[in-house]
Amino acid sequence: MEIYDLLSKKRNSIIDKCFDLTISTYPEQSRIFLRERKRQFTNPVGYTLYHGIERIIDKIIAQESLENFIPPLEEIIRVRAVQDFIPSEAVGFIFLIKEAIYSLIYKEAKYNELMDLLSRIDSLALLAFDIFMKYREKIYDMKARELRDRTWWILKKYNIISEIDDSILEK
Amino acid sequence: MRLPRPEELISTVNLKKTPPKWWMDLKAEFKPGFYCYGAKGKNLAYVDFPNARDWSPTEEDWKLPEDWKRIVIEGIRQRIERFRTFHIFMDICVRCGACADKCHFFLGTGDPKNMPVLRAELLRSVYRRYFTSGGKIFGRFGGARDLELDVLKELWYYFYQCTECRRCSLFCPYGIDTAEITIMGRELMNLLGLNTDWISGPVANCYRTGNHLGIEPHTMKSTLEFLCDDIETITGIRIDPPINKKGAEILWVEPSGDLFAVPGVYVAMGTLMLFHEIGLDYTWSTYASEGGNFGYFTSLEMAKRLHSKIYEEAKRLKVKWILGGECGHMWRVWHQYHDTWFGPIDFLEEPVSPITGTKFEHAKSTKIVHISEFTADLIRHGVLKFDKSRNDNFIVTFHDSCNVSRGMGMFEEPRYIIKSVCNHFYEMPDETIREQTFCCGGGSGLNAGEIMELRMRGGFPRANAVRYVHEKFGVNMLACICAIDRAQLPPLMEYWVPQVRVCGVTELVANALIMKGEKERTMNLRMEPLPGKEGQ
Amino acid sequence: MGIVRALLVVLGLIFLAYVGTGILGLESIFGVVFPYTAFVIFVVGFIYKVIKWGRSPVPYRIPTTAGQHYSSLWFKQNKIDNPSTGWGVALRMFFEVFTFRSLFRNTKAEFLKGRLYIGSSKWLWFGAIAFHYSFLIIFLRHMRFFTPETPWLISGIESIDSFLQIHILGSPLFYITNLVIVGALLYLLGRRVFDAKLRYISLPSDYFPLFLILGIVITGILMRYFFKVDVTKVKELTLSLTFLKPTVPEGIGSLFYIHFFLISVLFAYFPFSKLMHMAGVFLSPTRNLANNNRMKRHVNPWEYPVKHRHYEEYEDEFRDKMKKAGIPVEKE
Repeated sequence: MEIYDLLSKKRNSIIDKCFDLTISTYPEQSRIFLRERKRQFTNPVGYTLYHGIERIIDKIIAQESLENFIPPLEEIIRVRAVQDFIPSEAVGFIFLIKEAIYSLIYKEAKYNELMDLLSRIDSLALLAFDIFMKYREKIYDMKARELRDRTWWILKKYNIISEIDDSILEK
Repeated sequence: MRLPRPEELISTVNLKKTPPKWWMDLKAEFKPGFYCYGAKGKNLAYVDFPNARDWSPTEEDWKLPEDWKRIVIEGIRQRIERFRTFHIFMDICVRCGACADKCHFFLGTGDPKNMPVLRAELLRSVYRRYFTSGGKIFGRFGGARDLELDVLKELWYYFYQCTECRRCSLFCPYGIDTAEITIMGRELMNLLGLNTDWISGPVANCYRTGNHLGIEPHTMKSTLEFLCDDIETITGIRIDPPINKKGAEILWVEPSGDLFAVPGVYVAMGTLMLFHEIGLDYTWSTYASEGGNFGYFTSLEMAKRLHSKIYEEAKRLKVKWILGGECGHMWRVWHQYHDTWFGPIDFLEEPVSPITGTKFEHAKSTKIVHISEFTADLIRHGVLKFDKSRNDNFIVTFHDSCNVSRGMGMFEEPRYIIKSVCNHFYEMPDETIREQTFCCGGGSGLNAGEIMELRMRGGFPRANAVRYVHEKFGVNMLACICAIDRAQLPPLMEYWVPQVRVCGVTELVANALIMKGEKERTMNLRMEPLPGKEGQ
Repeated sequence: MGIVRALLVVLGLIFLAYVGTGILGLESIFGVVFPYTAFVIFVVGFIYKVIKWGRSPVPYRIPTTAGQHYSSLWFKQNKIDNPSTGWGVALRMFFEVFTFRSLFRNTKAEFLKGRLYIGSSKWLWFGAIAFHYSFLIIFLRHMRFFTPETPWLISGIESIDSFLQIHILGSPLFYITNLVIVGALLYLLGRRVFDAKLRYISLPSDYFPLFLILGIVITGILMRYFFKVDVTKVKELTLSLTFLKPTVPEGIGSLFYIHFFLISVLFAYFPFSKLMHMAGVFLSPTRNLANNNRMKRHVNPWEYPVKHRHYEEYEDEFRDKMKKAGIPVEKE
């Protein structure tokens, strides 16, 4: 289909636009810093977002199957799942990808092809939500497990170790 | 009515552009996962902290004493008179921003108030208002603000989002140390009883039982016996650990986390094996059963109260010197504060390794030596025999603990040990190790379960570097020399790099250590088969 | 935040000096009274502040260690970044003060895809060095106005500073530092304006000194290259100030007085502002102490005894359990 040729021609500007839009969901004061996407170790968030988006766009262009999108989506969503976002914000960057693609190619693309592409991107949003839930659940799982793994807690239950209680305090 | 489009809904900026608010006009929002639970009254009361009562950060009413403002302002006054650090750090910051992107919490979140400069400005603005002429005259335009309840809440919120790792102080042209500012900030909070459950519980326990976990003496003994049972299963050697033994040459103190939590227990086992193998005349103590110091996360006075036991015990047991285990903040306190608090230590002797005869002259005043210094010296003198291949399943990298790095400067010893006992060792990228090491994200009492999100994002820069060496070299074991690391890094790895596990350095030593009279080993300290012994 | 206000204040100061000297003829106030007052405020304020800092003791020795420590083992110590002796500290402080070593550390240049990539912080170090050194050189050059015979050191600095041997519009030799300091100031200002995170943390008191110094520099440049103030008369005034016999020659012109007034303001403002980092950097306990904590005791003058739980109390609470477990006790 012609639209994918069009996409691959505009690959770099699409990626940059997606990245800029995604960065714009962060507080203004940190944006300049996050936009610095080359410092892999001293700016891991900017780096991860950029490369996740890059891989997603490439997979869209290559028309890969849905499950191939899981790794790059996980990269991004795993970061956003522990940041200061509500669920809709955390996964909503998919719509920013859609917006970026639309705004850059709508003039040249055929209507039917464009509609088809955009509705395919919608399915990524559903996938993203599944991934978000997976990592949120992982957080809660880790919270619960940590409580269990901290053996002292169990030992305390069995009266092997003790806690300050009121009777000790009174002495 | 028209439904908004998704991108309108989520984009905070492009479409509904509002003038950004200045930080002084933004209140701290308390979101679950970002703050610790409040302290319980009984734990505060047990150690005589002021305003002991149960409280919760999310409740409107923090049950503060009526004159709380006066208490805080007086507290600031006292501290600027007592600490040149604090006094200077309040005055000379030029807000150049060099520290801004050095904080792991800012890197992981993008919350501007997590920039070290702004974290300090939160308190500086109050200092200016009450202690400088510029602040008094020009108010907001002089960067000053009144101490209001919302300001207090904000201070609390952000001083409990700093792990006192000092990475920012490394890059500050004037050496402004946010850890020092956080320490002062938390002292001020504690004047009002604003402590967290995760910190105040261990503090009370430590005061009573000698360790954070509340392990009573008989339990400590049975735990050590459990560990020795496992050692016997693995090596065939029965060890009888000396406890509260008078006249031993060395008092051994380690973080108590190593006695009860995985993977710390493997470090404790490794230590038992190492000391047994070299025939060290040493003793554990049930009274000085904690090297770590959660008191340091409340106030310097509390830190001193908790650690007084160590020298007192050394004196009572008439040992010659003290050997300390793998721990981070513990070593910051031992190294930088102990001698000032408890010195001169004239009742102990200058440390000399009884095995190699090495004089630890650099510890001649405090008489305390780090286990990694001690072990590295043993290895250098060829005292220990190793079968490195036993660690061949582990492809190891090393995480420098913040406090041992930037509060002491011990970088080579653990690396030398690891390279001596492992065949596969790879460094993480330069800007994430040694003095530039990233915090695990859970230091200074911030490894509470309820702030898992905060810990995960604070630990992201560290995890990101681990993932890099995992992908590049197949690293699957993250070694460290800190008990908080051993509590924080396992969940951090599970979230970001699930293929990587965490261990202490001494665990690796004991795996490789060939002990006299041991049976043919088939498993490592974790009771997993050794390489090539999978079938047995 | 406050950038406009800071700019307005500086413009106001310029206006004040212009009205004062150009219209009201208060040359003696702006040429003598203000400079003397500012100088006194500077000296007294500076000393007062340093004494005030100095009166806060250094209770603990807490250097930030940035390299391998000294130990009795064979590992090579990093003597500059983790000094264990006074000489090491002196060296560390030297690099800190003269090369801004901590700021430089920031600035790892990285090779990415074969291209040298320099982080923004490298520019910060560069901008800071450029500003501070050109300021220092300009400051030293100006000493010729306050000494009857120009010392050889100052002449030397002048000739190095003007080694390009360029004349602009037939004016005196061009000083490189004049260009450098303007560039550096614009850079330091620009990053506060254009970097959102710096804009967020900046206070009016961050913009004010930048505008003030920029004002001083610009008026200085105008005088030297464009409007050519009568240097002999200026020197007559400044020398008379040095020898405490102030005389105000006629016809120096307002431009000079604006320049002189802004400098007076800078001097008077200095001790009350963040500019005191000049003195503070020498006193910073994370940099100016040796990391020899376990070798040499550091004494805290206000250390006080604290209440702690003694072994006896501990044993009293747990004696029965200890005995039952076979752990030795003091009292049976």
